[in-house]
Amino acid sequence: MDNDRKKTERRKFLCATGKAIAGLGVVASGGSLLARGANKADAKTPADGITGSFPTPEYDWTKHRWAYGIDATKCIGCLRCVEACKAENGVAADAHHFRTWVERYVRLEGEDKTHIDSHADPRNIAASGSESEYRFDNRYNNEKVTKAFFVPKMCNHCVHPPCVQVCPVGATFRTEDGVVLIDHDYCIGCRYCVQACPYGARFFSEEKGTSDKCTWCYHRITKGLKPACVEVCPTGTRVFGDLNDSSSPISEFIRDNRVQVLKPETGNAPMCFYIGLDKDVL
Amino acid sequence: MIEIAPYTGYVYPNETIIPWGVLIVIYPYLTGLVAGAFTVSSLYHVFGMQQFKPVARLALLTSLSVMIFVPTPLLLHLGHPERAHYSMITPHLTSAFAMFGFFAAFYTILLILEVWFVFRIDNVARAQNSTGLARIFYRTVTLWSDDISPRARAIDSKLLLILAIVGIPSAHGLHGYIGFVYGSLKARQWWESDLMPIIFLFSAIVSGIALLMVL
Repeated sequence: MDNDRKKTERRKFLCATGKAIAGLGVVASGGSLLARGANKADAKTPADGITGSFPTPEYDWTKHRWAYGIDATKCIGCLRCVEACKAENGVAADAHHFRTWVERYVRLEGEDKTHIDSHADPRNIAASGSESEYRFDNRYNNEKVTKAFFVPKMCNHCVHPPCVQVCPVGATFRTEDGVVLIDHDYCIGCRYCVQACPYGARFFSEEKGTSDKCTWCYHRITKGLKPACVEVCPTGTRVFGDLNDSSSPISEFIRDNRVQVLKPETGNAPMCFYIGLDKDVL
Repeated sequence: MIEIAPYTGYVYPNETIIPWGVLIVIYPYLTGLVAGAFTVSSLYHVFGMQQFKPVARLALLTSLSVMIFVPTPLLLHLGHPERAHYSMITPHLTSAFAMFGFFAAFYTILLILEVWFVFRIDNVARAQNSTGLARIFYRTVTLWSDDISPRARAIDSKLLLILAIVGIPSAHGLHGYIGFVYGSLKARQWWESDLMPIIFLFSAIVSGIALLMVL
């Protein structure tokens, strides 16, 4: 009898505790959702039910399909694009954080491998004098070069981006107009996306505490401007435009050339189209 | 150099910084110990191997004490630890990382319940044999229940068996999913493998047993 009473008491206690915990949980999650909803309203993110004009009233992201072209045969390795990108987007001024960078591929006489170097190479850093300036050194001055070319690299804004797939909170996303962006107010900074990118296009921004990457200067293209790197390129290596417009530079670029993409075997379907690549280009 | 190590050479400038440092190494190391120690305890609790009886409780406690520390290296790793709960409020279901919160929370609760049931009868005895503050403490630990009748014990051991059976897949899910985190990264050829979860689980069992030997 005593036992049964105890049991009833225990059951009551467990029921009450369970209800209390469940109630707390509901309140907590409800509160967070409300808070998130409020944030959303301030930030005017797509989930608000904005169908057309986004992110500015004049811009409709369903009407565009952005793509990027790089003619590696024209690049002279002047690195204006790298400097313009860093200045425009506030990227850390060192040799290990790049939204866009340029690689140099050199083949020497009598060798059957390609020498590759870029801004993180210690000899290039020594040649430029500091990590915040970028140039290629003259290491091949006394060599017999049989073939040499530059390849600008950046985020490929893939149609099936592996970085978006692995984000645990959905802070990175692909916009309706084909740009892969990061919500810096929602990214938790786990760096899974940095690991997932096969192109090394993402990096971790220590200042922001979040991942960072090329946005195709989304703040510029939505106002009808070109990305900073395209704007400053002196040789027309970099081409940008709207695939929905058949007379845009990128549509002509793809129509007039045989283009290829980097690492097509990954199935990412990049939207950066190259011409003039070699078999050694990584 | 190229002759000794033919796959060394150029890396992308951004990849000269290793994004996942030692904290991401500590985390699977700890969950490996958790899963391994739990495996040892379940060898006795589920499979009834009497030779593991002396270490079964120690293994369970080891599992719980390491498990409580598991989220710490992850939180320290995050650029914004204060946003860590976003992965449970708004999980992005295609990401392996999004599952961590759920796996870890479920498994921690399960471990606490199992430890409570395993030590309940002893704690009731301690509560009855002590006085003053110690008595209040043990009474609180047993949640004010002092029922150690044969019927209650039978219920206890039945619940223990259920918890231990559910615990095996959750412990191995917790650790095996980390293998999946690495194995599903197609950009990293040295990690990308379907066998990663299996490799992780077997090394977890070995390391858990090793930890118990040290303890």
